[in-house]
Amino acid sequence: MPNKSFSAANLELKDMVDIDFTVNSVRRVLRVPCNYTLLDIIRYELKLTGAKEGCGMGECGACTVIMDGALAPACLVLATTLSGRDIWTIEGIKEKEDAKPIIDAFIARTATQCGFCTPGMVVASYHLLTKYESPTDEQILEGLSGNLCRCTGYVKIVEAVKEAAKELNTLKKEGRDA
Amino acid sequence: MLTKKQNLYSVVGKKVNRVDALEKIDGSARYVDDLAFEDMLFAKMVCSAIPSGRIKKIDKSRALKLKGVAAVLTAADITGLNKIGCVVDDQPLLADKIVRFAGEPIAIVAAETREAAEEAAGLVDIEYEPLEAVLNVDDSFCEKVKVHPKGNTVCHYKVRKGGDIDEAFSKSFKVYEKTFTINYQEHLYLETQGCLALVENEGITVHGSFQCPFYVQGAVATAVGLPLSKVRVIQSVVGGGFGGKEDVPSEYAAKAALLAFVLKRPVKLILDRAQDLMVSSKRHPMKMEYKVGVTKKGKINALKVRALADSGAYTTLSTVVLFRTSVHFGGPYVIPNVCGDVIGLYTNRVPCGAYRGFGTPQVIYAMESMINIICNDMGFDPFEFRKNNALKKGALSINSHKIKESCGLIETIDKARKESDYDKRKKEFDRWNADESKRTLKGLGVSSIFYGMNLGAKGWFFDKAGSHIQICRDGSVTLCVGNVEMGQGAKTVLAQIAAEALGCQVGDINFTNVDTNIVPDSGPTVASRTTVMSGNALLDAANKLRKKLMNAAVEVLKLKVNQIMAKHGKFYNIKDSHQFVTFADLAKKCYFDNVSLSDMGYYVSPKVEYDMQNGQGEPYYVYSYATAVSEVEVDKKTGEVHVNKMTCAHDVGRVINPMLASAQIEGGVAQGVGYAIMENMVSEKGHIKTLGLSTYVIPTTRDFAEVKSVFVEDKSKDGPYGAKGLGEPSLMPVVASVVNAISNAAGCQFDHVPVLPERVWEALNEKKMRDDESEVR
Repeated sequence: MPNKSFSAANLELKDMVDIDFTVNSVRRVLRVPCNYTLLDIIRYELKLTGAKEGCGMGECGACTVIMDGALAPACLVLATTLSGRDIWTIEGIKEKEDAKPIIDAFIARTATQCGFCTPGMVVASYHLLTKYESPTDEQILEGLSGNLCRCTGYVKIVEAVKEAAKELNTLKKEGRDA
Repeated sequence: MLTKKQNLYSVVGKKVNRVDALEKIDGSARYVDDLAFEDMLFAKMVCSAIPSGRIKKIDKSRALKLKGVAAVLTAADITGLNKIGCVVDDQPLLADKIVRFAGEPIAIVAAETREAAEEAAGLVDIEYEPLEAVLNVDDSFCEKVKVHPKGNTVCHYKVRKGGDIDEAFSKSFKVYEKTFTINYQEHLYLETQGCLALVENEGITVHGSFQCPFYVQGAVATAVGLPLSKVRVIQSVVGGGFGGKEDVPSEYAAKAALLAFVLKRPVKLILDRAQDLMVSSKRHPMKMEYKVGVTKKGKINALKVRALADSGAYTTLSTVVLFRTSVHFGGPYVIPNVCGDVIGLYTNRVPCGAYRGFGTPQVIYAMESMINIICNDMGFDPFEFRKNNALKKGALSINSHKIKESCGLIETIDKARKESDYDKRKKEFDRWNADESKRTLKGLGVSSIFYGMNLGAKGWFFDKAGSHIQICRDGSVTLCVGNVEMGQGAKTVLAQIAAEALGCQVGDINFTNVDTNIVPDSGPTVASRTTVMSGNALLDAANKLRKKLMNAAVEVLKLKVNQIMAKHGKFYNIKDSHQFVTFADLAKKCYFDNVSLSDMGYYVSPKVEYDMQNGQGEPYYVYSYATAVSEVEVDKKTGEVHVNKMTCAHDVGRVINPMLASAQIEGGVAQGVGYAIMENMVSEKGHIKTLGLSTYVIPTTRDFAEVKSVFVEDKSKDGPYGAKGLGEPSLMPVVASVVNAISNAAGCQFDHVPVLPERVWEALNEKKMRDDESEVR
């Protein structure tokens, strides 16, 4: 409903694009205006509003999603390039077993204030911790450098990521031992 | 060590998790752009392309022809009054005949899609007759060109203390003079300005991202032409404010409301980042001329200040912001002779207004730089010098305010020195800097601040807050307050205050969403006042309810009031914790005994007396204090600066939640570091050029600084549990201490902020040339 698409008002059929892709493990077949970005699609067509628009130019990271295993600013990904892609948003990631320690650590370390950057920050943290089991400070700072936060000074966020890494490793060890 | 009394508190002073953490972390929190209504239109502002001129013609025809465009409104279409000025009536909602800054809204478009609205905004043809623009404070001051017919002075605050200032300087052992300039700072809340207006019950309802919903209510009522009671403002989750969502959202809400009112359809107006950067208010750029006289023993005996602030094209909040400047330009020091002039000036640039610190970080930077110069020149220790001049109980501020209580400044200075390991680091850095093979130079910088609590003498008449508490019959509690959560942690801290007073658990507490139809008008969520104001209003209500709960507990436990203690959801026998009754059972009992467990609270900020003519009296009832120490590293080859560590010692009275308090400080540090060394708003001929995040650069994790926060808890008698405010003080000392650290590393005092790498590089080269020359001699 938000940003009711061009389809109703302005656009001809030739201006629409058909896409067939996966979002949070659900296959989606959609016809959307060809100038839509991935962010428009997830927010306005799929009503997944966890990803935010902070700049619309790929500069702030508030719309970060995981696309085919890599971080991507959803606001820069055009609809026409989406078919066959595998997308994960905060709404899908938060349900994953290995995301729980991250969410818990963000709560326990008060790693959120206004919260506008937070879903993107959690997605980037999740991606980081799938890449590195025990990231170094340098890897954490690099891994989150595409996500701007104006409230926290990043201190509590970095603490939370470290704590989550520790917890994930404990869980993995327990899993192996069991 | 904890005192006996502190031990008694069960949730105040404790690390409690944020009550709104999960919804923000998992993305389910609803910000205004996440809301939508059936049949909703999208709005876009049409802004002035020139900084100064007459509007000769507005042609809407091309825009209206575009498919999906519902309306293009201009000043002529306003159903109420075309005014938006929050303090002074000098600003139109939509420019009428004259434009005074590049970006000033002239028209507002509504269309079926955001894209159509954007396209239509570009098709509104405006013909201008350009006029000469006033683009800096010096030109504004000489008034060759007037921005407004009444002249260019927005306000002029004077502070006159002691005797003749020139005579005072003649008695100084040494006199130092320097002029400093400082650029804009942009709030850069991650969520841009936004609101959504719709017609409901013959009135207007506005949802949005606001710090001051009651300001928005007033602005909408004025613009549309409705009584206040027909305008309902409902708060969405706020993606950061920092002062930028104080008065400014009223402008956008009034425009969206006007469209909704005329078109009878919901209208959403979300600013894109470029437009937000162009039209929303900023921190005032200032030119500050300082003259400081010092005695041989290192006492400041005279201070003369002339600060010219660029207020931009309209007053907005300048008169209140610059009032604060006039209280804080001398820092937290005892100075017997003061002559200060703080002058706000109109220019044809974007209006400046509220930003965390409210007109103080600029002058703190200047004053603390002067102290750095003095200490370096006369060989004083930077901590001892500050202590030697520091405000303490019984001393007079530059406004002759006699400090009566809650003044932990000296303790913050001592703690900052100790906790930063200053003396050891200083020796290490001196050794490091002497080694020419090192690529970097390291420096330490100090800064102390004070900050007047609440709205003070200039805003006392709306410095009030209300509350409502309802205890449900199952023991869960609903709180209603008029100040908003914008990320600062207000909900958590207020829940802790209420839980402590009621004896319930934080988990039992829920908040009614801030809605002007429901919550009491509690003034603005600004001035670091929420903990004190809404906290006290909640205490007022909670104390009444606690009495009723206690009466019920007396009946159940068959004990006297003084034998019962309440905490963590239980009322129990002080001597035997096994004998208790739960909070929920007491609530149930009161319910069936027909005892009301719903009550109102109200709090008014302590009255202060102030003489505006000479700037003497009590500008604020009490102050927070802080001292910060920065460690910086400067690249000798590139001039780049990295802030490695900040140690911040804050006296904020009682700390309600140490985890949230340190989180506030860390955030303030990052914003201050950005302001000091990288955030550079470039304005050319009245046009802002840095309209994106790759040109207006804020700190990322790559600029990460370690932050050590320590607290001095000199309780304030008027604060809830002795608390004072922290939101703004967290940022205030940062710029000055960082610039002092860079200056100490580079061997010259930087007179302009931000201190960009180019300038540092130049300074290092100049110093090298000087050093080489002196070697040749």
